[in-house]
Amino acid sequence: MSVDLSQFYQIFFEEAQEHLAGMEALLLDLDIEDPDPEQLNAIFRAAHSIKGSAGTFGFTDLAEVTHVLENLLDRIRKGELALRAAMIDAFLDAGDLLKDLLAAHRGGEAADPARVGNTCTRLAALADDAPRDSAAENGEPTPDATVSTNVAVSFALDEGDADAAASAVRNLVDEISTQWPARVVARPGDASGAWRIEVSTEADPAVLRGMVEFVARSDSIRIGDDATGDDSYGFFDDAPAAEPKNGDAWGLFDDAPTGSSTPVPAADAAWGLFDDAPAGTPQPTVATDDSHGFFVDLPTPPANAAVAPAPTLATDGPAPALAVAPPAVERRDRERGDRRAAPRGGATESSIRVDIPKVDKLINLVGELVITQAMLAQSASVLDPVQFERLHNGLAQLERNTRDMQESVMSIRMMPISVVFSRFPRVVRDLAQKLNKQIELKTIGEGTELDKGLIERIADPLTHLVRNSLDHGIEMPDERIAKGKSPVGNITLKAYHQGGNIVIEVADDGAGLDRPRILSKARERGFNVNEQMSDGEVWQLIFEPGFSTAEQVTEVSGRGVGMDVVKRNIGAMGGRVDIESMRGIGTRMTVRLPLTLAILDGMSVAAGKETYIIPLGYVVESLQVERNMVRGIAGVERLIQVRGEFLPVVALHEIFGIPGAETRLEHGIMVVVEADGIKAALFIDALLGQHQVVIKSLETNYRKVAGVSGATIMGDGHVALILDIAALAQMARASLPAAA
Amino acid sequence: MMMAQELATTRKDMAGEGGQADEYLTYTLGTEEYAIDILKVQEIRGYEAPTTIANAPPFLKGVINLRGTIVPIVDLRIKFGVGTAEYTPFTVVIILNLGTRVVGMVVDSVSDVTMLRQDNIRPAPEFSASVDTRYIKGLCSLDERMLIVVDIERLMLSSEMALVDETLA
Repeated sequence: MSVDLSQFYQIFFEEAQEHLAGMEALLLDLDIEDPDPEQLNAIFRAAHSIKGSAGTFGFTDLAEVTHVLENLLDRIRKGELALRAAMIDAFLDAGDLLKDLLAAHRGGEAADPARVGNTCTRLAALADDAPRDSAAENGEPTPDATVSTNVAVSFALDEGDADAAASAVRNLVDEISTQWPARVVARPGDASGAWRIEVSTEADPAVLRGMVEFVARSDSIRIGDDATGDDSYGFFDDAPAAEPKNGDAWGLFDDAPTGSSTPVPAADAAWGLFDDAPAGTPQPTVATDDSHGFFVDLPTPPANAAVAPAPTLATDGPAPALAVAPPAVERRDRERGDRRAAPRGGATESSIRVDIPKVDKLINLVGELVITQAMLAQSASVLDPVQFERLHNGLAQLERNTRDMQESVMSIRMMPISVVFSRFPRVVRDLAQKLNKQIELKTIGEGTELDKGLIERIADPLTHLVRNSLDHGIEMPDERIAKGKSPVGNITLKAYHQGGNIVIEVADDGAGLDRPRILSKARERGFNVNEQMSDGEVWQLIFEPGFSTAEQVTEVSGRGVGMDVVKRNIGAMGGRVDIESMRGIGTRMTVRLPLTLAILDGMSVAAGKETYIIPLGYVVESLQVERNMVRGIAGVERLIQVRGEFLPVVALHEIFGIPGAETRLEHGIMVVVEADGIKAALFIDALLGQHQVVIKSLETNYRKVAGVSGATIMGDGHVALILDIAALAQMARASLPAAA
Repeated sequence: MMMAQELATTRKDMAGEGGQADEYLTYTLGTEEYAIDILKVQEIRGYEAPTTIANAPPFLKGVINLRGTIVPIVDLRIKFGVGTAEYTPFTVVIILNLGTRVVGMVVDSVSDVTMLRQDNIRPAPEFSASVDTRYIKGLCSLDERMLIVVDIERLMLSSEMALVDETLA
């Protein structure tokens, strides 16, 4: 039983984590002045789902926090509260707390119980604030961004006792109030007269009608603008504009020409009736997709108090602006909605959740299959092609199929880099706030896919690079203005495929690296540097352990730990980091990673009795040297001349101490390789062939071996080592000055 | 080939007569006889020429492909300088499963599987065996023989065997 529960826990944890991540992304995307109701709803739903499942599983702390969060969100989405920057902060904090609580339940470090209380109090305090206060607090000229619509409902009760009717209506209003703010605006003089209540809601009129029907005579119920209803309120009769039917009202904004400045149509004037905004102030207004109209909801006078100026509103200066604004906003909303709706619809229905070990097992099995296929091909290659034609054909087809299958299976592990990129808006936002900098983050190529294993491991180094750009790269706003730049700094994250690599760039338009300072710092640290070093070499110095040119150690960075770790981690993934920088213009760090960790196009070569694999990506050419191409340094044959270029020779048999290998340069083969911009000639006995090999880690059961990046299993079942060309090329370079 | 699972089932049948009894696989290295916990043994197989690893210590013969897994092979005879390190069709490799790692070791010969009661294993005095006393759990006399009970996991994962990266060890 406990096993079953823990299985459910796992699903809950994963789901909750997804909800939290989604919530965070939405929160960061949310426009405070103009919140998209669809987004607010999505955030609310996320909180609600977490609360529901947390409650089911008995994670009371989670449920408690989400409950308060949900309440606040609910009031915002219903337009009872205006969204404020402080709320977003509180939500994000609450999200962090939830993540920590989740981690605690997953067996991590327990979260501070006081935080739960604090967060709840903070959220509750926000929820208690009156909307009026919030607008004042923000100090913004805009009306509070509350999205709501006052719907007038008029109805008459069955004839009866006036007191009983009053109490019935009071109950009705109380009932409606549990969902939306509602109040009685007019009560009739006698029991059978019409009541008028006003409800602030976006809900479908039919819902309201349903509620009212409990107490009212159904034929007397009028909802919406025509609910002004009863003859007793005669002043509506003369306003022709006050009679559009519900249907018209819904359609109105869809039809309104975008950006039109034509005189406000009569119907618009009708909306103006309920608009109790002071006529003189032009105000950006907010309307929701399904609003009945745009009744800007200032908390002050009752809706019908503004009735009198109706005819004048149509000609009033600011009024057309009011009328024109909503379609534009609405159109944007719809665009947003479409943009989001498309991927969401596709993703939920066509994906399944699979445990990583299952996928890995599948990948391993396919790897085995490829090896088996290679073995079969090798066995069959000695058979007569004419006599065994059908066998050969079958094997050729098997090869194609296994290759296709391998590609498909490998693609299962591929994930879009947006998984990593999505964390950066938050990182940048928090950090920019802490440093008082203004940053705009751009992400390009989020759809670029790479191996899940890489995704997990690239996140931390990338975060570090982004933080570094933000802290050291981007200047303070006033400094930027002084330099004639926009006070808002730009950080661009870009991912794309290039050859067999994935390239991720972190670029900023900040101050750029300071060459003299890096050099002087390097001297201080006792590094071997000189003025003749190329920029590229100088920039690489910042990856040295203990190197930091930050004038001040900040909380964010500057302790000199980190960049070296970044380089090491990326190196461990088979990637590398390059820096380009220009003083005053900015810095671009480029991370290059192999697409996948599991498979490689390789060239098999022989040295002595051993077979080695050279990753094909590093191979430039292979050639046989002649005596006159070989140049010696200090009596040792260390260089060969290829088309005017001198290449250091890396003799594999020397480095690996392989017995029985060819030692005479002109009798073997030179494979010219290039890694990290260093070219070298790898001396081996012979070329054997070209294969796609499945990379197996040596470290799983053994350890890292210098000059070897991994191992693979050849067609005959034997193990072949994959050469680490970058390391070998480095060895060649290191050996040169010593030889000279 | 003796599979660990089969051995493990017999062990279950035999235990439970009071006194913790465990099954051990015994093998010889030179003149000494060693015993290791059978649960650490994955399988026993014949020796096949491994792929040599550059610049590895001499006792590390290389790596083999064990059904798709790359497994390093150490020759304990070379490591401890006992017996004769020659490879015949009768040379055996004990494949050990040490938690997350799989390692093969070449020994002179595999003797048998025996039940050893925990209270029969006496703490080892300071004596000179080929294996460092740090990795010896104790001594156990069985009939006329003396078995050296080795903590094979500790030995194999020790820095002295150089099978694990120093940073991890």
